[in-house]
Amino acid sequence: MTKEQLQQEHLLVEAAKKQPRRFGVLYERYYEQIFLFVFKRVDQEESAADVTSQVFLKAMSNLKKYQFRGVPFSAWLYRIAINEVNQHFREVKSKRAISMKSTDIADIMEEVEELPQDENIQQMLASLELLKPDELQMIELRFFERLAFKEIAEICNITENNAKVRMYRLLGKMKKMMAGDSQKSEVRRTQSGV
Amino acid sequence: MTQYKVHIDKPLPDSKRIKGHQDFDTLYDQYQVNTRFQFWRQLYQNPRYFAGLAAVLAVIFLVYQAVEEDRIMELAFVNPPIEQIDYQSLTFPAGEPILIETEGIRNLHIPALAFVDATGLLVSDSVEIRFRELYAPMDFALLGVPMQYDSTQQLVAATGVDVQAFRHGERVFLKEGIQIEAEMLVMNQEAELQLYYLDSTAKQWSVRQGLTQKPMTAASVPRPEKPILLAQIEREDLNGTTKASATPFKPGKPFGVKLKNAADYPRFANYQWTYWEYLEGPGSDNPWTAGLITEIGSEVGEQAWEDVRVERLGGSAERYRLRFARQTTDAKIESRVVVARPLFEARNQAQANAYYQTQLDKYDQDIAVWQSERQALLERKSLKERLQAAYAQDLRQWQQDNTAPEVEARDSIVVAKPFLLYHFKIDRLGTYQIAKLVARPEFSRAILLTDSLGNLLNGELLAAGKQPVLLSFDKITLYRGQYRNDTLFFPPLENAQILLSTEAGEMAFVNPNSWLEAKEEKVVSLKSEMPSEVIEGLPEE
Repeated sequence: MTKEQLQQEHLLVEAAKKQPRRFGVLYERYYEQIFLFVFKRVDQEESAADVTSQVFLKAMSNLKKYQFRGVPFSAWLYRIAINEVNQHFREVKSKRAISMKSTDIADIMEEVEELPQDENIQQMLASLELLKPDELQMIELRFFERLAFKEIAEICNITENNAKVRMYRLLGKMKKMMAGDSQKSEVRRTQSGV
Repeated sequence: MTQYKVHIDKPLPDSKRIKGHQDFDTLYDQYQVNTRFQFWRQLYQNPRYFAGLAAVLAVIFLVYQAVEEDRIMELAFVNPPIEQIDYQSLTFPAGEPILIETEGIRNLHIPALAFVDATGLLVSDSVEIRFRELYAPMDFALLGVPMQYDSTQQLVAATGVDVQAFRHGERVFLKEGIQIEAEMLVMNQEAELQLYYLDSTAKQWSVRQGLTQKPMTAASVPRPEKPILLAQIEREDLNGTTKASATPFKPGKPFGVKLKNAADYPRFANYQWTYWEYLEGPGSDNPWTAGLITEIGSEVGEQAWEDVRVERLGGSAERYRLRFARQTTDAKIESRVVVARPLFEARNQAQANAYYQTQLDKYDQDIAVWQSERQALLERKSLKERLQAAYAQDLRQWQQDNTAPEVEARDSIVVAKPFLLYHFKIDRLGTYQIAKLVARPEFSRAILLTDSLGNLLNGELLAAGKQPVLLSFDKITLYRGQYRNDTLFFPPLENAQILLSTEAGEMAFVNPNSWLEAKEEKVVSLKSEMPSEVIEGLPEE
């Protein structure tokens, strides 16, 4: 988003604060984006619709607390969505989904400096399994949602610099985890005499 | 066991499908429901806020109580004094005692040096006493004086007085320890009367001790005073000069001449033309009518005769004789004399004209003033004549009324009639009444049937066969009611004289022969007779 677009959006938000009916503009703008974000995690359309509805209801009800920080309004919506998704899983007790595209995988492999071969991909996916929820979230926001570090920082309530450092360390961790796995598989191949 | 479900390239719902889930209206409704009691939920969840709110509410409640009491008391006090009940005013030297005596206030004796100002300083120069006698119950109502004593009793006044004192327009007060002696006449009452004082700050009546009564005797009957003409005439200042001032003199139009002998008078030596004002008098011809001067429209004229010579006349005034001369057709010399005053300020015709116009303007002003003075004089003369005529008549009447048999007859009636003379002392200026207490009755209701447009009010009551409650009036009790919409609240006394006041401060009297018409909150008219259909519907008394 350009600076002008951000300013425009800021005005929309301010207008919605004064007249809640005007929140409808922001609702229209971000509904699909948030819906898909939620859907990728809850894996069910109806549940995604419910959670998305809750996200926007929370956003509308707490709009007065929102402060413009030079990032799109969606960053705040994402933060609310993450909380609502977590709440959903506390209530529903089902498995959280991770949805990604092939291209997202290729990007991760590039970052961890591994070839996008099946084995490596499996290791990468296995390493995702071992990540903490907030670490996984960072990977998803960066590689699957393709958000900028500034937005990621806003969503995770950290500084942009902090977001970059964490991402660097996280990828390093994944790389190590993947390397540890590869060693184990080499050992298994060795043990099998292949 | 994995904790996540991993999907790679799983198809996601398309935009159309996602849009099907969108419903902002429902979301908005939910938002409104959620936020309806948001403030109270937050309050409930936060004990500090709750305690704070409770404290604020308590303060508001206490303030409201205090204000509401004031408001109720103020309503009871109704309106400021009605000006029709005016004060009588008397100014006198503060260093002398004064006795005020009227028909009702038999005696109001004010000691000398009785007043202090707001700072406590003794008033020693002059004091203005303002007082009002309150005879009829209506007087109290029109003054905005409340009649309720407490929640269960109200006062019925026999008489009252309101006494105030001022010095140069500033209120003054009775000096501590000083009392005004008062005596007032009242009709004898079966019930015992007491003295009440109105505390205008607390807006409440309180009983005062010291009311004593004396029976009336012939000696205590007030005698009408002999009419006095002189004081009235002096008051109206009719003894001043009745002589009118002299009528202003209209200035004559100046005229110009060329003097043949100007050289004989150094003052005229530098004037080619000299301008003169004609002075009327014996030995002075009018130059205009004598044809000595040629008229030039509205401007100053010029000599018509060729020879004009000047001669100074004696005396202090600037008076000259102008001798006009000409040769007649038969070669004789004809001459005329005009006495005139020179206008040295005019050196030419324009200046002479300007001078003349100034004189005319001044004359117009003088005439207006003179006419005004004359008119005032005539009015004063006329007033004096009227006063003298009235005095003569009053004197004749007084003489008739004060023959011995007349006085004796009057005294016997007065003494026989149960008058009482009450005596009390005033130690605080304000409103006093000699009154009795009666129980405050419950309210009953009188219903207006129609408004001023003829719209039927309370039609359902009529349809139900119910009649308005009206009152018959052969006793007199004062009540101040308040009109609200279409109902009036009256005490259920059999007889009452009702003074109706609206919140806007309008008042109307309701009596058995009147029919009140109202629109909204206002009394718009009071008719002398009730409509016949209402009378027919009245219950038998």
